[in-house]
Amino acid sequence: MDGVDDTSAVLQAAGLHQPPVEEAPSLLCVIIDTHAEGWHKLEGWSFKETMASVMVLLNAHMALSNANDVAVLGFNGMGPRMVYPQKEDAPLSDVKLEGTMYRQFHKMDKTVLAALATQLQETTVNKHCSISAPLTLALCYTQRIMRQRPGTRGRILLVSVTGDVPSKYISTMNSIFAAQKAHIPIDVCKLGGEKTNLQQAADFTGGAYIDIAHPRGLVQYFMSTFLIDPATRQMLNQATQPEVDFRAVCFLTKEVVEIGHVCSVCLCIMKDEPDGSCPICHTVFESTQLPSFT
Amino acid sequence: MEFDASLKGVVGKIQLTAKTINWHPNEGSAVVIDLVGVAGMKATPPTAAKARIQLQTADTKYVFDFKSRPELDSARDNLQKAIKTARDSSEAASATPETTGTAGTTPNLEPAPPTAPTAPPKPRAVKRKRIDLNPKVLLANLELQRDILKKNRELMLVFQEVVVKGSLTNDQFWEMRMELLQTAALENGQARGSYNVLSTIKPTTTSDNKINLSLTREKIHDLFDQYPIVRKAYNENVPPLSEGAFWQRFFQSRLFLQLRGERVSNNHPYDSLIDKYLDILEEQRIKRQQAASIKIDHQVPLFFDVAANSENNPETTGNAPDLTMKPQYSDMEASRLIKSMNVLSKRLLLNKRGPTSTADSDIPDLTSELRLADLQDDNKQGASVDLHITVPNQVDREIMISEQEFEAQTQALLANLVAQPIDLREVGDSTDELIAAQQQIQDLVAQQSLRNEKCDTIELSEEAYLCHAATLEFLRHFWRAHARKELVEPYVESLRKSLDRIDAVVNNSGPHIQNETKVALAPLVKSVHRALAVSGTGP
Repeated sequence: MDGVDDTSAVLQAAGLHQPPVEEAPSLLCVIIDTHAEGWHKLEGWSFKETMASVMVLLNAHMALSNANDVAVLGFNGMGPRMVYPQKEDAPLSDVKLEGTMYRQFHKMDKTVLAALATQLQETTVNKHCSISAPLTLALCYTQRIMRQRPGTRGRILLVSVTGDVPSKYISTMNSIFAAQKAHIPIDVCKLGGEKTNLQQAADFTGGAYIDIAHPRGLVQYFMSTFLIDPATRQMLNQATQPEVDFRAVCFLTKEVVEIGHVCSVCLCIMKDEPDGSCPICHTVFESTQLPSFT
Repeated sequence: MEFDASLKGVVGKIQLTAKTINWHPNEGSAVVIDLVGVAGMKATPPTAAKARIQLQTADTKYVFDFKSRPELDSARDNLQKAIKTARDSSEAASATPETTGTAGTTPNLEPAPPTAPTAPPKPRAVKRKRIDLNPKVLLANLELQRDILKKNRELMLVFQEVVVKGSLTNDQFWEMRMELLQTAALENGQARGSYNVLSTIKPTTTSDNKINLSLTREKIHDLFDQYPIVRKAYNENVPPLSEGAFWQRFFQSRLFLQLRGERVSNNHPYDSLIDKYLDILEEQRIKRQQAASIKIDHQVPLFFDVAANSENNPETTGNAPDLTMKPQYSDMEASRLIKSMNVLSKRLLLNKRGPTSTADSDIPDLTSELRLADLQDDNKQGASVDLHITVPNQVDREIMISEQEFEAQTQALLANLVAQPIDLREVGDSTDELIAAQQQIQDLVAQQSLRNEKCDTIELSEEAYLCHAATLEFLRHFWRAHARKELVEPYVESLRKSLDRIDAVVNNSGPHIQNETKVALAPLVKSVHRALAVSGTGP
C-alpha cells in the first residue's frame, strides 16, 4: 500500500522504512504440557478443548505466510518429545480429506493429535518433568531451523498446567537466558499450576505471560496476543502480566525465597544462613563477614 | 682565586672558578674537580700538626696540603662558599628539598652531606597514609559524612527525610551505606598526581598592555622537575643572565611554546640563547629513540614488557601506528605535539611512581619475574580457593498422586483426546467467554501502556520521589533486621507512618498527576503491607 502514494519514499527518507514484516519466515514452537495430573486439576476445561484452540493457532500462523512454520513439543514424566514435525512424514496425498479443510492444515492437525496420543499411551513414569527439558529441545530445534533458513524468526509458546520442578531451577534459568541471547521470545500461557519462574522467562525474553482467567475463551488469547509476530509486538503494548515474580529458588531446600543469602564465590542462593562455609563450593567464610549477608 | 697547595706531595696551586676547582701543579697536568660533584670536605682541626683539606668526590679522594693554618682557613672558607653556591644552583634544579640549604655549612671535620651528583628527576617520596576503612571509625567520621551529603543532593534529601525528620539514627543510616563511606575515605586519602606546570602558567595582560606572569618557587621547582631541559638552560645561562631576564626570555621563546604544546609559527622570533635547547631536545629525543631500540629507558619487568620483544612489537609485524601519528596523514606539527604530550605524561607518571618500583636492582632477575608471587605462599589455604562444586541431592518435587491415580488420569486424558475427532468449527463457540477473555487482554494492555508511556514520561512531584526513597530506606532496614533476627519494631512504626505519608503525597499531588502518582507508588504500598504482614502487626 505504501508504494501507491509516496509513503514508502517518505519513510525511507526518514530512515523508518522497514522491509515488510510478513516476508520474513516465522517459526512458532508450541510446547504443550501433557502432565495428566495438571489437566485433571483443571475444572470445566479439557485437554482436548485446549488442543482444538492450539490447532486454530497453528493453522492461523501457517495461514499468515507461506514461509511460516510450526513445531509442536509435548512433555511429561517421560521427558520432552517432538510431536510435530515428525521424522518420517506421511506424504500429503495420503491424508484423507474431511470436509472442506485445507489439506496441509488437516494433515498437521492429525499428526499432532496422533503423536500426542502416542505420547500419552507410552507414559508410564509418574514424575514431573522440568520445563527446562522441552525448552532446551525447542531452542535447539529453533536454532536448527534458523540456521537452515537464515532470516527465520523463532518464538516459543508454552502452554502450561503444572508448576516447575524446583530442583531444576538452575537449568530452567539457563535455558531462559539462552533464549534471551538468541532473541527467541518465550510466551507463556498459564492454564493452571504454580506460577514459578515462567514469569521471568517471558519477562527476560520479551514474551508475554498471561494467567488465563477464562479458559473457555482460550482461542481469543491465542488470536489476539500469542499470534502476533515478535516484530510487530515492538509496536504494540503487549498483553502481559505486569507483575513479575523475580524470586529465586534456594539451592538446598528448593524453596522459593524472598530474602536469602548468596555465596560470594559461587553465587548459590541459600534460604538460611550458611554454617561457616558455602554448602555448594565449600568456601569458608570468616565469621565476621557472615552477619553482613543481607 | 688561587691558593698554594700541594697534592700528593706535588707542589701546585688551587684555582677556584664558578663551577670547578682546578689544581695546577707546577709541572705536569692539571686536576679538575667539579664543584657539584664534591660529596664531602674535611679539614684537619687547628690543633693538628698538619694543615690538610680532604675533598671527597664520587670516585676519588683528594688530599691537599697547605703550608700554613691561615692559608688553609682562607682556602677552606672560600671552598665552602663555592661548593655551596654550586650546589644551591644545581639543587634548585635537581629538586631535592631535604638537602637544600644544609650543604657545606659545618666547618672542620663534620662531613658535609652528600649532594645529588647528577640530576635525573628523582621520584618524589610518596607519603602513603594508611586509610582506615574500619566501619566504626568511618561511622564516627562526621566530617566525611557531611562531605558526602554535600556532594550528593539526593542523598542529602533522603538523609533529611529519614534521619533529621524521621526516626533513624545517624549510624543506622550510614551503616547501610558503608560502601559510600569507604569509597569516600579512599578517595580523600589518595595522593593527587602531578600536573603539567606549563599549562598552569598563564600570562595575563595588564591595562597598560604589559604581560604579566606569576611564577612561584614551587612552580619553578615543578618546572625543573618536569622539564629537565629548562633546568639545563637555567643552569647554563643564569650566572650571566639575571634570573628575571632568563624567565622573561624563556616565556617568549619557541622552546616555551614547544614544551607547552602550542604551535610554533615560523615567524615567531628565534631566541638564539634559549631556542638552541630546542635542538638539544630533538637530539635527546633521537638518542632516546636509539637507546630504546637497545635498552628500555625505564624498568618494566621483562615478563610484561611487550616492547622488549621485537617480534611482539605490533609496528614491525604489520600493525601500523595510529592515523594521528602518521606524518603523511596529520601534519608534522600535530604529531610533534602529540609526541611531546606523550613524553610529558610518561614523565609525570614515572615521577609519581612509588619508591618501591624504582628501587629494584638494575639487572632484572628474570626467574623471579616469572615466579607468581602469590603462589609462593606456604599457607596453601590462603593461596588458592579450591572449588568443590557439588550438586546437592536432587530433591525432586514430591509426587502428589499415587500410582493408580496417575494411571487413571493418564488414561482419562488419552481417552478425552481421542474419543471424538476435533471439530475446529466448534472452537470458541461461547461468545460470553470470548468477550471475558478479550476483557482480560484489554486490561493487561491498558496496564502495560500505563507502564510504558505514562510512568516514563510524566514527571511526578519531588515529594513523591522523596517519599519513595525514604520508605525504601525504612524497608531496607526492616528486612535487614528481619533477616538478622533483630528487633524490627522500631521500623514498623516508621513504615506505618510511611503509609500515611504516601497517602498524603498522592492527595497533595496536582489533579493532573494524581492518578499517575498513585499508580507509581502502588508497588511501594504493596511492599510496605508485605513487610507489615511479616512483622505480624498488620497494617
